[in-house]
Amino acid sequence: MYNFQRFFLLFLGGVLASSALAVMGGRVPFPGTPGPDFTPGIETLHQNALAAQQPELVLLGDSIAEENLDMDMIAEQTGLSSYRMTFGGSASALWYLAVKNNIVTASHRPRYLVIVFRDSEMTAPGYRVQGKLFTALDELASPEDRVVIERSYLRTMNPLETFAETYFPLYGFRNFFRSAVDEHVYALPYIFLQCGKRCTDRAVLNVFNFKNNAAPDKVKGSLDPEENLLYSMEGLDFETQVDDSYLPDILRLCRENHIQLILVRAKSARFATPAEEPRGLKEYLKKFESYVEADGALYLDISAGPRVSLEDFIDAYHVQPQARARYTQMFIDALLSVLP
Amino acid sequence: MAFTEYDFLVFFLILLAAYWLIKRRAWQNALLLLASYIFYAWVHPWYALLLGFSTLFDYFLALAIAARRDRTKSLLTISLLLNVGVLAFFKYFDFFAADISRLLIRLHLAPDGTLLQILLPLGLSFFTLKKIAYVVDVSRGTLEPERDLTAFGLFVAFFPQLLVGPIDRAQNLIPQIQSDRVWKPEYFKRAWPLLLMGFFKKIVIADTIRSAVDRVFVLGEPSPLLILAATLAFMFQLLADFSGYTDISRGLACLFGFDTPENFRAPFTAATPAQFWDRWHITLSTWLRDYLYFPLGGSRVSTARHYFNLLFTFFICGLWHGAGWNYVVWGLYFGALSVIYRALGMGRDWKPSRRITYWVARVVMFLLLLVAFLFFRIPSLDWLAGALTGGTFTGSAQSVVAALVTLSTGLVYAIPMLVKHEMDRRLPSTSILFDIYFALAALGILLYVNSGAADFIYAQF
Repeated sequence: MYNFQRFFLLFLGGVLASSALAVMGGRVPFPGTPGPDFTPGIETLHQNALAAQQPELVLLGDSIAEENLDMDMIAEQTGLSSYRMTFGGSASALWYLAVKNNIVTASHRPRYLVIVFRDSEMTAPGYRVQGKLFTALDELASPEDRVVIERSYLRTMNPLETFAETYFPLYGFRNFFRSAVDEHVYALPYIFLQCGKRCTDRAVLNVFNFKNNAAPDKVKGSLDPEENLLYSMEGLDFETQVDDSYLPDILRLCRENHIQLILVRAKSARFATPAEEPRGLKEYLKKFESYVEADGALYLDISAGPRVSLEDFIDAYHVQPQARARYTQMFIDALLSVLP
Repeated sequence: MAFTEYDFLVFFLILLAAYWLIKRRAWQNALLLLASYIFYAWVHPWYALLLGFSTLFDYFLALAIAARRDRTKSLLTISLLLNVGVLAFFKYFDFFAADISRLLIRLHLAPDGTLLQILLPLGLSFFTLKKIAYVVDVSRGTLEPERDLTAFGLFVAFFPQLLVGPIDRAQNLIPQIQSDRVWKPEYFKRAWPLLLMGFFKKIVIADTIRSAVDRVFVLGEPSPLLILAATLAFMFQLLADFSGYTDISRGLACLFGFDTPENFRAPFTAATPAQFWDRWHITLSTWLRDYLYFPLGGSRVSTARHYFNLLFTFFICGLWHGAGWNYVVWGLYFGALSVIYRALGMGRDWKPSRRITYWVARVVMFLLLLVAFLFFRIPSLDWLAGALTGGTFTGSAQSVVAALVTLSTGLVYAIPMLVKHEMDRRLPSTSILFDIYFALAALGILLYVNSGAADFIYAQF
């Protein structure tokens, strides 16, 4: 039988020694602060562009807004000069920071802000904030944006994680450690093909680009497990989610800055037909609509738009290039129905 | 509630403390039964209702079989029809779910897609096989029906085994449920290495490899080389995921004073298909052997019939895994391999005198397994056909790089499993090297754990 005492002493020794090394080497503070920290400075690229281009309409969203919508068509048919602020893989945390630190702080503020979102994304602050998305958030945030750390990170952490981040320097050190271990992936391409780090990264990005993905009906059940967060019982409980989300802040910022907010629920291939959507989602959306409209925002739903069919999708979210115009038209039609 | 979730940790610790504070066996069983239903109902109460009704049905049916031996055959048929029927319905529901939904909406019987959201109970495949084995054994007279409903209910619903097995037998579990249990330090001594290795395999190995594998199988037309690299990585992912789950399940059961069967014994070192199935998902393969292959006549029939029995058993094995032609092909492929190896005289006990022959056989078997798991993992046969005919074997230069990255991730994260395997073979369990290994594994868990751990792969079956 294995010896528990000996194992535990070794484990404890390992934890203490590596923690001491991490703390003394200045890699992590002790006790640590749970959750990540934003670095000083805010990326003002979009803010400057808003000042320079003075658009009347700003489109904010993730890669759905980037890949599925044609800005020239939108500008032409609405008669509004338009500007796109899209960030691949982003969600409400990043959109909040974009509104707060780029749009309302710009010397020119648009008349309309259109946010393209999916299902319950607007009230899921912990959705899509990890990994490279943290870097994107960090660019738009400053250390004063502690509310984002609180809502997007700390509230999604369980007490054990919070304790570990505070008192186990090794746990706070884990991202650095994992990145170091994962450097191994560069070895084989270099040995066999003389392909270094940059060359490997480029190849991986190109091969695993969503544009190379199979149509959703060909790879059923292949959705990112994180998606389940949006459709869990908790995720679809609008009343309990809304106060902890960025939605009230986005509404307030737009109202205070005289920007007409238009929230557009995007069409995706997540559910083949509206009938397949969970009942909880339908109830959630009804409450969502009442809530945002009571605050002066407009809500549009193009998720059931007939112009684009399932066959038009490359993957669960993005349409083929030939369907882009139809997707955009569907969006414009909805937009024109509410624009004066 | 998955074993890797914080909610489960809280649930388990409260349950464990309460369980050992209660000294009476009847109360311990009642508490475990209640906890098992709470665990199951966590996802949806509907699951627990289905489990409860189907348990009651088989409980009374087994009693009726024992009381009316003259009607054994008809009662057994009813049980099999119902258990297999329910299993088949839910397994294949996915195939026609959308059509059913549309029909119900048209008939105004269901206003939305709710039906699609609730009708897929987890673990059904596993507890159904448990119940079928029980009723068949009672009908054969090799097992007395259990009269204590709590004990029978616990046998079926015992939460460490409920979602992904192991598929325990009544002969093993019910006598343990019926015996008094007081806390012994041995329980912890047996449990901790299982739990540690289970979490290590799941959190550090399986979940890390998963991210490298999944992105290949969503591509439209990956190169065959990339698919092979991903399949190789997937083999280690699946082994780590499933054997990790079994280790955790056995470790948890141990902490409650139960000894449950193992499911894996270094399956990728097998030299023949029969040896592989002696080591891979052992409780499923022994179930298929005892309740399907033997009743069909096993090998004590004509050669042609024997081969048919093998093919049919593996065909059912494939179907059990899911509704998809790839699973059917996967099952038949194993059936065909078994037939060929039997015809060549290479069965379960085959071991050549020359060491080199044995190693070559192992390498050949591993390559054949690679093909088998390719069928297991692909989204569909159409997808595979498209990928195989879409271009050259290696694809573009960037695709070769992607294949090497995928392969590297699979191999590097498989090394700890290979090291453990060799240590188990060569070292006594008292060796300090095991303590060092476990300490490093525990550190690995600490560094890799996150609250967004993926579900166990076999939970979908």
